[in-house]
Amino acid sequence: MHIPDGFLSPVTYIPATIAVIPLLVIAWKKTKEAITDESFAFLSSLTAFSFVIMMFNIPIPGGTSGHAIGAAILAILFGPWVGAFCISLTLFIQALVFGDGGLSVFALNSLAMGFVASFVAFYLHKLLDGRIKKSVVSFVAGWSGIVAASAVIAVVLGMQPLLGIDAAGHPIYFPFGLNVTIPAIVGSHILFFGVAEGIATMLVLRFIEKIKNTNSTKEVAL
Amino acid sequence: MQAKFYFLFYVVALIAVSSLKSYEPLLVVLAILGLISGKSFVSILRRAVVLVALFSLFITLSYSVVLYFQNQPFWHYFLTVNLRSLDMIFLTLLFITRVNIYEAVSFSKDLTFLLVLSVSKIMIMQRAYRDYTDALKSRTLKKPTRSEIYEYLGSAIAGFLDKNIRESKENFEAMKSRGFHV
Repeated sequence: MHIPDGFLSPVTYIPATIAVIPLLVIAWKKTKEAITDESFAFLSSLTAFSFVIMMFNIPIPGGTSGHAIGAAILAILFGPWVGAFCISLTLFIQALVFGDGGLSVFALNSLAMGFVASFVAFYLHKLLDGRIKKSVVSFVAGWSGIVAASAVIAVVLGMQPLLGIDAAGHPIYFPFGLNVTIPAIVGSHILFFGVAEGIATMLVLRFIEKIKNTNSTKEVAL
Repeated sequence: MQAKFYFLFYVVALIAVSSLKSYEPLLVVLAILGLISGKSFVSILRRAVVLVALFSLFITLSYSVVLYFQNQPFWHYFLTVNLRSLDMIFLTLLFITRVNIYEAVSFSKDLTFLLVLSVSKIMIMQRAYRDYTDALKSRTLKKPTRSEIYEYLGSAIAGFLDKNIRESKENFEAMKSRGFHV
């Protein structure tokens, strides 16, 4: 879902950056409040976790595979602000330390994959928890977070032909409109990447639940 | 201070390059970046081309095909978007190879510290992940079933999460013993 540099017009990414900065400041403050004095070591650990989870290739029924981003896992376990902050920090590190992604698209990637995915997953999990089977709730939360994030990306990309055109009226940033981006991006996330996130969320939460239940005497960090 | 100035310059340059709407000035920008990069031009260019090819080429090629079948000129679009993407990625790679990023974002002490700690942990985790997958591969004799793969993934991802949190407690104690207080 990462968008590289050069596909978003400045009229898109400058307001997105202005919008994401106060959100990140709030997320930073809420995260520090939520996890008290171990903040730095803990946050860096969760950031490293969201980075490493992107390396796991998850097979999806149908013969393909995808990777999760871990937004739902972090949001459900530690709260949506912590999830959003850690994913955003991971994206920032990917863009400016590893040269993957880009600073001009950081804000949109952060808004979608950090904030939208974390909040949707967290609140959906909260809404459904206890009403249906736990593993289904986890899957739906993970899947929905990513699908919602992909919808944001699809809408913003699909608006680019309206926002950036040359003198002849041709698009000069992302070329395809909403009629293409919605089915292509949201569709692929409904069928593949959302499934990968859903499976990862379900597996991790089930594993944590299992070790908490079966090994209550042993010290477990989570 | 110098790193912060370069960071500001990088941001302004990035906005300027992203505003260019034609391939001619983008070619000039690439030439200027090439001159600035000096001996590392080829290695940065190679990496930038790979990153552009991953997404940009795929999108621009498919749109160029659409334009071609509509009998519309497609070269301008193809060159402009790919060159802009290449210039911006080149600029970012040049910036991160020349400037100390931790110093550049040191406008916040907290952010700098968090960044240094996170990157060092990411590097440790990347190594741990490689060791983990190598160990798994060397111990797997027959192809695992899908449910076995899912079981492995669930425990591996949760294991990494557990390991990270345990280590964060150790890191915190180590930081505290060395006089660092949040």
